[in-house]
Amino acid sequence: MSKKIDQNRRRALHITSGVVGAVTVAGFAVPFLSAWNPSEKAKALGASVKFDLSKLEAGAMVVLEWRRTPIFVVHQTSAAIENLPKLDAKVTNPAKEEGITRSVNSRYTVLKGVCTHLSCAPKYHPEIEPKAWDQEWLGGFFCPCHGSKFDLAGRVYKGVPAPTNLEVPPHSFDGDMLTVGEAV
Amino acid sequence: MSKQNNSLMSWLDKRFPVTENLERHLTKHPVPKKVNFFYIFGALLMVIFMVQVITGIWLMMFYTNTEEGAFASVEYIMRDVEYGWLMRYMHSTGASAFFFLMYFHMFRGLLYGSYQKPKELVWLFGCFLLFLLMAEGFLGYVLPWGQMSYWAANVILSLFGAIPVIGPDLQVWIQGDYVLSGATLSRFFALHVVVVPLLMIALVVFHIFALHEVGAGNPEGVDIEKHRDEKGMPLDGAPFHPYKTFSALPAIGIFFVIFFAIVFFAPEGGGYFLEKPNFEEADFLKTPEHIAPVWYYAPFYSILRAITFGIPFLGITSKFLGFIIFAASIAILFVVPWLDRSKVQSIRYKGIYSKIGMILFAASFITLGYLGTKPVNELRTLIAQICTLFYFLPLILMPIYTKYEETLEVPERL
Amino acid sequence: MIRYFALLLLIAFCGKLLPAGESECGALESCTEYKADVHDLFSLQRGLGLYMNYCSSCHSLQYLRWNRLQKDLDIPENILKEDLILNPNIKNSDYMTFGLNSDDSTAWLGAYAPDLTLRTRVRGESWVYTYLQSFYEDASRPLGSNNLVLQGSSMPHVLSSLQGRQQLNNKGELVKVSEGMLSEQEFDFAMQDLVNFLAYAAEPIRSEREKNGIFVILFFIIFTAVMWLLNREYSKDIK
Repeated sequence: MSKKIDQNRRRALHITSGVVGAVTVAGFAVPFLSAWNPSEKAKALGASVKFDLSKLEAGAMVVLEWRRTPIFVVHQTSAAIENLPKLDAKVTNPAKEEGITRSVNSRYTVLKGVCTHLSCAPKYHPEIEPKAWDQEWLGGFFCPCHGSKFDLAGRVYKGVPAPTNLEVPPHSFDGDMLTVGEAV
Repeated sequence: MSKQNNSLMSWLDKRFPVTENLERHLTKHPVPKKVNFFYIFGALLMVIFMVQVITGIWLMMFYTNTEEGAFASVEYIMRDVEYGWLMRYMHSTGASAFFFLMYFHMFRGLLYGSYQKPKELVWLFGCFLLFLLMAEGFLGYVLPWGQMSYWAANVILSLFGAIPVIGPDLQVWIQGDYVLSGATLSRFFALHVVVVPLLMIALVVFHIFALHEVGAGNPEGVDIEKHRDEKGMPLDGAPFHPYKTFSALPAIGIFFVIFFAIVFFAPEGGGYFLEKPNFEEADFLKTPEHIAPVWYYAPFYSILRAITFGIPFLGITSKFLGFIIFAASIAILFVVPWLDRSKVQSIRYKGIYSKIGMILFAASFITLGYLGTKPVNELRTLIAQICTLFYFLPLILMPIYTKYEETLEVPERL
Repeated sequence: MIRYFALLLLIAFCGKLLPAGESECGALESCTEYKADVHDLFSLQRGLGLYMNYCSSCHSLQYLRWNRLQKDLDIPENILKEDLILNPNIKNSDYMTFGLNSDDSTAWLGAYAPDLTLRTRVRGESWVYTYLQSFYEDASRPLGSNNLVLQGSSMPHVLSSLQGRQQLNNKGELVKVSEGMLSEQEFDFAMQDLVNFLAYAAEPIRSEREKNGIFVILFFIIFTAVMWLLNREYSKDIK
């Protein structure tokens, strides 16, 4: 009846089996947790979008769709590029480090067309003329929902409901080809 | 145990029967010390149930339960979802494993008289679980909406249509449409994912509570409660935890070796686990050459097909009679506790007739299973009919031979 | 007790020896056995080439994405876009439908040319392998050809330039009546490549699962061994 219980052996076995058990649980968990990652279908639908800029005239804007978001691509005129630094004082965040067009390309601006207030789509008003919302309007975007104003580079004016500049999506240029989103 | 733990446990115990139940069902619950490997299948069934539920939930996240999208969504899971293929194969292999384990678990019950008084209720809950598992497997098989999903469902639904008087209307009501369609698919999805699993969980709980109320059996059929030590623990018993919990672990390991060998190297199971026609989308204009159920229904399907005659003067068609006898082959299992009149529990101590009966029953079941996967011909139908007879005979005659046969003396101790 | 179990196993295995389904091979007694090898990358690439040249004008692979094919078969971007996809409007993430729809093939061939993505899983690799080699000339058919494995098939003998033309002799066996570009053995190897590719298309993950499976099984053998030791230690208590 008196069998000595080797506690050391038991403890060693407890630890070993505990570790093996934990590894098993982790091993089971990995596939199930990974399955929640975006599937190939999501990646396909969320893939980068290409656009041929040679068709876009100066002063014109085209709206692309990328990950269910409208993307504004503006071909800036020389006048616009001259005017943008003049608005540095009127905007909340001049974002000088991003460059005048807020893009690697000095002629085009690429923005998410989503107002940073409550996500309405701002309207493109490139005309340099007095507007109901600004007597000294030098061109930009006006959001009809609650009156937020952005310049042609998407920078938000001071004193409007929107707090931050229109977001710049990841994008790159290859000659005339614009790619919005990262290339796979 | 630190003081911290003790006060936490006592806080809980005043509000919820934690320690009481841990002791009653695990640490102080006596089970026979010596059992054989036939006794592992209950634990393995619980493991496979969990595997099916978890992989099933995950599959649900990506599956489309409409006629238009179902088949493509399965390929989406197989190709586009990370590890989706693993979940699909675990679920399909798990279904076959579930039945394999279930049949062995029940065979143990028949061999060792696990259904005898006072465990009749355990057996009844168990038979109900078999019925639910068969329903669950059928419902699940329709979901991929492959050729076999569609056409096998058609066959089974038409059995309901064969019921006299109410049949055709009943079939339309079950289908939710004049023919098997997306309407049927959507409701089968709800039944497969929620209704039957909830019922199965409830029944597993009842099954185990009923078992724990009276105590597990053993291959000798000895009543371990008769001889106890001074603390009241049966001399031939040991607490469930840690002795049976720890002994289950290596068995689970071996099970997973076999299970994952199939998942990773032969998920189609030679065409038995994932049937070839089901890799083609359901086409209601094209009937497959050979409609066969999955292997685990084959024995019962075989019995159904073996009934090639009806009872004309009662207005019973052969199809309906087949349905009745097919249902009887499952229903008769429920009443086994009352068919067995033996003084002893285990086959080891029963007489020669019980032993012959058991061999005939098992051999018939397996042969019927084999025949059920093959197309019919005259010889096969004849063999199926003989096997159907030898499936029922050992059970129907049981009240007689178990009462009168010569049995061996059962030992007092294990 | 062991006796019962042994007897059961014996009976059980007698029934399980044959694979599921009858050995169906049309007019042939049985199909030539072939087990696809999806691990041979070069074979899959050659098979892809054959598929593009001889099959893709009628048969789509609607569940296989181009970028999946590219990743698994190690295809450089320029070859993918210029030699395989060909159409600049098709994205890498699109499915390999080749711009086909079933209405067209029904109009051209009288029956629709089925999508082949899962074909080897539906018919079996041996069936497809034998089918591809069993075409013969049959003047009574609308397109002039028939197939021993699928009698009455509407598919023309698209591989005749490789295999050569075949006819049936009066015993119903295939005999070659003209030479193709490939010798008999070369054609056989080519068909193996093609079936390997189709087996890949039917289940792209197969190569990876067969490679990783061994580790999973090894792990559970270790699991069993550790738990066995734990159990043995505790079972000493109740000896």
